Amino acid sequence: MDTLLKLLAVLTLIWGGWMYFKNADCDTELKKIHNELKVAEQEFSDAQAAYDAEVKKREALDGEVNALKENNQELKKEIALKTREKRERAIQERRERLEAERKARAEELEKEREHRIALLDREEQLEKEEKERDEASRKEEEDQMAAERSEREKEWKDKRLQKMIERSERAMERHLSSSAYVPGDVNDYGQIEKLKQNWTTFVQAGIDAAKKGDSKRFETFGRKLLNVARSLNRISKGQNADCIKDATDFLSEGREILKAKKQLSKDNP
Amino acid sequence: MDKFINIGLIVVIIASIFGGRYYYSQNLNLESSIENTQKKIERLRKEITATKSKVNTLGIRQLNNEKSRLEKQQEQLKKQLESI
Repeated sequence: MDTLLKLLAVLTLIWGGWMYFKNADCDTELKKIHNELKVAEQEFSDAQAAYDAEVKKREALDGEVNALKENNQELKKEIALKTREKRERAIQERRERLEAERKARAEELEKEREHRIALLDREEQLEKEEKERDEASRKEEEDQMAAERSEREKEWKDKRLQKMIERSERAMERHLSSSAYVPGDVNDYGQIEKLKQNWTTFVQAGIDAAKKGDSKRFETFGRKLLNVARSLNRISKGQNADCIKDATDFLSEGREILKAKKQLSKDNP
Repeated sequence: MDKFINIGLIVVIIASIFGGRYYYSQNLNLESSIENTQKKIERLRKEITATKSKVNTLGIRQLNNEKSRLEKQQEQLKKQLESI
C-alpha cells in the first residue's frame, strides 16, 4: 500500500510537473504566435495601405488620363478646325488665282480677237481691193473679148449671110432662067412671076430674120420658100428639082446660122 | 511516522492532481488560442495575398502606359497644331 501510494504520488507529481512545463511551453508558443499575429497584422495593414495608395494613385491616373484624353480631343478638334480653315483659305486663294488667270486670259483673248478681227478686216479689204481690181481687169478683158467676138461674129455673119444671099440669088437666077423654065400653060406666066416675086421676098425676109436671130420667123419664111420651090418645080413639070434643093439648103444654112448665133450668145452672155 | 508520510504523499498526490488539472485546462485554453491565432494569421496572410493581387488588378501599369501614349500623342498633336 505504501509503495502504491508512493508510486501514485510520483506519477501524479510527474504528470503535474509535465503539465506545468507544457503550460510554460504553450505560453511561450502563444507569445510567439502573438508576435507572428502582430507581424501579420502589420503586414496586412501595410498591404491595405499600399492598396489604398495604389487605388488613390489609380484614381489620380484615371483623372490624368481622362484629362489627357479630353485635351487631346480638344487638340484634334482644333487641328481639324485649323486644317479646314487652311484648306478653305487655300481653296479661296486658288479660286482667286484662277479668277485672276481667267480674267487675264479673257483680256488676252479679247486683245487677240480684236487683233484677229483687225487682220481679217485688213485681209478682207485687201481681198476686196484685189477682187475689184480683178473684176475691173476681167470686165475690161471681157469687154475687149466681147467687142472682138462681136466684131468677128458680125464679120462672119455678114460673110455667111452674104454667101447665102449670093447663093440664093444665083439659084434663083439659075432656076428661074428661061432655059430652066418649061411652061406647060400660058396662064403659068403670071403665076411664075408671082412665085419669083415671092421667092425674092421670102429670101429677103428669111435673111432679115436670120440677121435678127428670130428663128421662128426664119422658119416661117423658109417653109414658105420651100413651098415656092415646090410650086415652081410642079409648074415646070419637074424641070426645077434643084430649086427645092436650094431652098432646103437655104433653110438648113439659115438654121445653122441661127444655131451658131444662139450658141455664141449662150457662151458669151 | 508512516502515517504522516502517507498523509504527505496523499497531499502531494492531491496537490499534483489539482495542479496538473489546472495546468491541463490552461494548456487546453492555450492550445485553442494558439490554434485560433494561427487561423487568424493564416487568414491575414490570405488577405495580404489577396490585397497584393488586387493591386495588380488595378491596372496601374496599363494606365501608366496609356498615360505615356496620351502624352506622346499630345506632343505630336501640339507639333501638328504648330505646323498648321
